[in-house]
This record gives sequence, C-alpha cells and structure tokens, in this order.
Amino acid sequence: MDRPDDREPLVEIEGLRKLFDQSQGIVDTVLGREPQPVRAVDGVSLDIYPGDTVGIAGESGCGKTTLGKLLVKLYEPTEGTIRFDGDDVTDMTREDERQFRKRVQMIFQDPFESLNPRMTVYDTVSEPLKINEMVDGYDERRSRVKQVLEDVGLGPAEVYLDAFPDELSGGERQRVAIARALVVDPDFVVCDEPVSMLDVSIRAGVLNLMQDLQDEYDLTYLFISHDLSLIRYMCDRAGIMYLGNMVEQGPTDDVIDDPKHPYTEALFDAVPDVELGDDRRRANATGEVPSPRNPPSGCRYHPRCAHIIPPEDWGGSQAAFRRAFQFKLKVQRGELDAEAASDDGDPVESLVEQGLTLDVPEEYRSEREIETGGHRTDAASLDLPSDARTALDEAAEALLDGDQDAAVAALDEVVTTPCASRKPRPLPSGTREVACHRYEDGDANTGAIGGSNGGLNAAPAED
Amino acid sequence: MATGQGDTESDGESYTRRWEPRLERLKRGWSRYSEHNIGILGLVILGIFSLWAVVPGVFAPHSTDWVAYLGEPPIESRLTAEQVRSLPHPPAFGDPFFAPLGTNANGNGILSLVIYSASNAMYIGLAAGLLSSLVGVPLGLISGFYGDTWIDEAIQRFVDIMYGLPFLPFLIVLVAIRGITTTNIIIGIAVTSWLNNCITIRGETLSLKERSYVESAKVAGASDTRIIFRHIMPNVLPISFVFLAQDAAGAVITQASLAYLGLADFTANSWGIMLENIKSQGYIFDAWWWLLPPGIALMLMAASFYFIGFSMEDVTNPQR
Ligand code: SF4
Repeated sequence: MDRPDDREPLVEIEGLRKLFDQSQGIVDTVLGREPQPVRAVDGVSLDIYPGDTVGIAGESGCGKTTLGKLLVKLYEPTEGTIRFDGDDVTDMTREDERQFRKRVQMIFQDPFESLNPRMTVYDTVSEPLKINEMVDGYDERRSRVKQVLEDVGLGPAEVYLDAFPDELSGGERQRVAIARALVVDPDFVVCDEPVSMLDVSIRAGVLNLMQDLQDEYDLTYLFISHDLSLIRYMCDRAGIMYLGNMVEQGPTDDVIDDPKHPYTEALFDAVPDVELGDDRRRANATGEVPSPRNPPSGCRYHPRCAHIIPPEDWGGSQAAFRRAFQFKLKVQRGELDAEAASDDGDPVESLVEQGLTLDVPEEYRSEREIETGGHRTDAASLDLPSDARTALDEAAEALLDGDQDAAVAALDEVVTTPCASRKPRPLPSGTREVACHRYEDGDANTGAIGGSNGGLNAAPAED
Repeated sequence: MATGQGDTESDGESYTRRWEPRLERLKRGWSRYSEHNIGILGLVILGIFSLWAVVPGVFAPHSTDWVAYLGEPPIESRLTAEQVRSLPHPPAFGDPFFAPLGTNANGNGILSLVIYSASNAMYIGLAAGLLSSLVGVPLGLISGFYGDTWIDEAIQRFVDIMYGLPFLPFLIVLVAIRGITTTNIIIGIAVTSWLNNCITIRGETLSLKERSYVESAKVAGASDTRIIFRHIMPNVLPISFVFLAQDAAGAVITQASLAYLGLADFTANSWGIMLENIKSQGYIFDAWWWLLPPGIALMLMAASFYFIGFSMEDVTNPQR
C-alpha cells in the first residue's frame, strides 16, 4: 500500500472540468440571463497506477459518475486533460481511439438497463469483439465468449449463450455485463456502483468475483460508489468527492481510519457501524448539499462544515463561530423569521437565538435546541466574543426593521472566514492529499484549531 | 462432433449452429403470437384476402367482364329490355343464372368483383404502410438520436410544415398534376401518414438513447450507425409494426373514401369504386347485395391489419 514511486501511472487526470450547459429557455434569453451550467466535475486531479483499485466516494450528485464517464470517453471534458498510458485521450486519432476502446471498459450500475433486452447473452458479450474486429470467425468468437462467461461464473456457458436478459436474475445479468467488459481483455475498468442494484445477499459474491478477475486479467479498477464499506472492502486507494471537487485522497485505510477533511469525517460518521451494532448515525453537517449549478465560494463545503475556520482575531471558540456563521448564512438566505420572533419575549434575543441554531442531526444538537425542536439555542452558554455578540444584535435589529442588506452589512466585518474567500487546493498531507485550509500551513494550524473547538476534532497529527 | 471432415463441411456446420438460435427464437415468437386469438383471426382473414389477390380466378365464379344472362365474353347478343329492367339482380343460384351475391346495374357479378378487387386493396394497404414506415422510421431514428442538434431541428421543422398541409386539397393537386393512378394515390396517402411514424419513433429514440446499454455500446467502440440500427431500432420495431398495420388499414379506407369522392383510378377494380358506383347510380336503398359485400370486405381487411399489428406488438416486446 505504499505510494508507488517507481511505476508510471496508467491514468493521469489533471485539472479535469466538465460543465453541462443546460439549454437555455426562451425566457432566460429574453431577460439576458447568463446560462448557469452544472459544474459536475470541477477541477479534479488524480493519478491511477497499474494494478491499483481506486475508489471514488461521495454523495449522489457529487460528480463521481461524471468523472467515471469522462474516463471512458463517454463525455468530453470541458477543460483539463486525461492521459491514458501517456496519451491524451481528449485528442486521439481514430486508430488511437480504437486501441483505447479495447483497453478501457466500463461496468454500469443497473444491469437491468445496461444489457440490451433484445440481444442474447452471446450477442451482448461478443459485440465488443465484433466491433473491434478482435477475433476472426464465428467459432473462435464463440469459444472466447464461452471462456469469459465461465470466468465470470456463468458456467456451463452453453446454457446462457442464447438467453435473453429478461430470463436472467440481477446477479447473472451483472456477471454478463462484467463478461462483456472483460471480453476484450482490457487494462482499466471503471465500475459505476457495480452492486448497488443487486440483492444484498449476492453482492459479496459479485465483488469477490471482481477481485479474482483483477488478478486473472491483470486489471486496474476504478470503483465509483456511495457505499463506503464497499470502498473499504475493495479499494487500496480512495478519493472523496464533494460537489465536483476531490476533497481528500489517499490510501483507503488511512482515509477511513483517520479522515482529515471535515467532509470525509462527516461522511464516515454517517455510515452505520455494523461491528459496534450502532443505529444509523448521521453526519455532523448543516443543511443540504447546495446546487452544483451555483456552488458556494471558496471551499465548497464551508456552509456545512463543522470545523469552519474563524478569522484571525476571533476571540471565542470555534463552536461559537460555527453558529455565528450559520446565523450569517441564514440572514443572507433570508431564512430568519422576524415575525415569529417578535411574538415572544425580547424579539432581538429571540431572533439571535433562532439564528444561532444548527440544522444538524439530533446527536449534535445542544440541549435547548432539542427542547425547542431546533428553533432556539442558548446564546448565553456560547463562547461568543463581545464584538460578535454586538454585531449579531445589530443584524437582528436590522432584520426586525425589515432591512436585510443592513443586517448582512453588520455581520460582514466580524463574521468572516478564510474558508469562504479562498479556495483550498489539494495539498499533500502525510500519505494523502487534502483540500482544506486547516491543513495548509502545516500541522501547527490543525493543532490550534483542534484545541479550540472543544475536542470535537481529535485529528491526531501523527504524520 | 465428427472430426476430420472437409473445410466446407465444418463451415456449413458452423452456419447451421449459428442460425439455430434464430430459428428457435422464431418458434418462440410464433408460440407467443398464437396466444392471441385475434392475431390468428387477423392472419386468417389476411390469408384469404391474399389468396383472392394472387389467384382470384380460383375463387370467383366469373370474370369481371361476365354479364348476367349473356355469360362470359365474347358477348354477341344484347340484353332485352326486360332483362335490363331486372338489373341489379338479387342473388341467384342457377336460375336464370348463377350469381351468389347478385349483380350490379351493369349485370356484373358482385362476388367476382369483390374478389377481384382484393389485390388492389392489398396493394394499396401494404404499399402505403411500407412507404410511410420506410420514410418515417429512419427519419424518426435519426432525428431522435441526434436530438437537439441541427439535424433534429431540420427534420422536425420539415415535419411541422408537412403537418400544415391540408390532405384533400393536396391530393387533388397531386392527381391533377400527375394523373389519377393508384400509385399517385399511394404516394398521396404516404406523404401524410409517415409524419406520425416519425414523431413517435423520435420520441421513443430520445428515451432509448439514454439507456445505459447505449452508453455501454459506445464504450465498446460502436459507431453511431451501429448504435442506431443494432441497439435502438430493434427496440422501436414493436411500435413501428403497429404503425405499419395502422397505416395500411388507414390507406385502404382512405383510398375507398377517395374513390367515393371520385378520386380514384376507375380502370382498376376496387371496393371503394364499387361503393361509389352504387351511390352514383342511386341503388343504395334498393340493392343490399351490392352495398354490403364491398363494405364488409373493406372493414375486414382494415380489421385484420389492426389485429396483426396488435399481436405483433406483444411478440416483439420482451417486457410483458
Ligand atoms: S477549508 Fe474550511 S470550510 Fe472547507 S473543509 Fe476545511 S475547514 Fe471546512
């Protein structure tokens, strides 16, 4: 599991971007609105070494499937390069492309969709051979297909050759899809959620088969999955994606046992720990994933981050800053309800407390938040510096007057964060790369912040 | 497998083995088709009409030139005034002549005319149906596959323009320019009927091309042509069968209506022309034996096309 220094990477991805232009409606054109493309993959760099199994994880919509499809040339990148075995795949001659098609294959998520319902197993599996004119003659082709079918555990192959997909079970179909990918003897296979549509009881069988085939066919895998236990089981290296960015990548065990990026940490928190018999836990992240059409500035994770960095001169705790920042976000989005606040007690106090709440799962909430169903929190118990407290009160007053702009202006000076203004670049940190400002200035910074957020983050800096 | 045989032998062998699964599939398809009684009924009706079309002489008691009382040509005598007054004659079985469905006002046997007209209806139905499928399906496939590009845009605008074309005036102009022949009428019908084909197939293609088996074919290196014809077309065939049958039925009926309006080739025998004649000669309420047979034949032919189309849909559609 060492970083292979002596080997040449098989796939090199550099600054890869893919934006999907949504065709503009007539209203937008008339109003002169700028088209807002979906930033599916936005600046990803990654090296894949021969023989590795790399896993890409992330929630749905993070761009991992787009990344996979870019790698097999189903999409053309908007920007950036992909090099396969040294050759740029975005700029290939016909002949190069033919070679590429033989060496790179993909296994799709849904075996009920990825097999043509009108083609028999034989037709499906032999198609890549025919297209690439790899085997001459019907008999040779047939025996090659049979051999691959037996390799993927569909034996005796005779039984399956003339079957149609609708006569097969989900597991059998996915094995046929695997056979189709392997029949050309590729070097690199992208597997997009290969077992997520299969019955839980047969997943392990298919995954083990894929592991065996890796040795037999000398494959390099890229696994795309939202299922972290699958990544842990299958992959030597893992990359975590969030909103089109690769936030952390490195050897799987390191990434999983000691996540550095706050998003990775939250993601792993969300995985139910089977060994401990825990109930499903949920992530310590506020709110929902924003739209990839209009991603947040700076670090894309900052509106949800539990470890968001306070400004240099912040006098209070990080936990308090996180809440103050949520207050600011709510003011900006116009989510604070001034009318409900004016009903009870001191409206300013009530509005501030409403704004300081965190939209997180119950286990991360304060007592008062649980009592009030997430509508209020106890401002006094927070370690807020006095200038911040003043700014919050001012903003709340402005809001009660119905002046949202003034409220935002009041907060702008005090509640700022480098996370929102600068984009973190993926930098090596120990065995891996992390894109987070907390790891930028060496580990000193990490320690300082880790200390001030009340032990919430015990990320050991042992590297 | 026996070994040591000549190359040609083993070639032949691999050939049979290669076709065996296809034969097997055909058999399976037939057993599925035959589950539908109306499908069988449609086939039987169409079979009878086809026989009538190919060998009418075997079924018809007389030729189309036969005249009551006088018999087959060459005809030397003329009808007497009394004989003329008895026309159209109701069904007669040997006395004074044999005409199981009676005669028309000219003394021709109705049954013979109905049988001899089958070929004309078959021809029009199949030709117009095939023509509109041959134009509509490929254009729909291309338009859908290149959806949202200038190719799609061009085809769709053309379809829009054609939709705006009023059918009857268009046909009248067409036959005025090119003459009233069966071929021109078929062209006239197909020119408007391929549009529905094209639009439906395009819609279907748009959804099919998003399936991951199409992406999987792209990853395998398949060309656009291969994807369209190998992966998408077989999946739109069920609907195009239905459309083919519908268009055929529609064409037969349209041609009859056109004949009724006087827009038909009067040298041909057709059910529509028979109906037009009974109207123009004023016997609609007097000679049921003349009115009903061509109408029923028309209805049966249209129905048999629909029935077959319906059952074919099920056979070609694996998701039932
Ligand atoms: S850069 Fe800031 S907001 Fe982004 S993950 Fe790191 S600490 Fe959180």
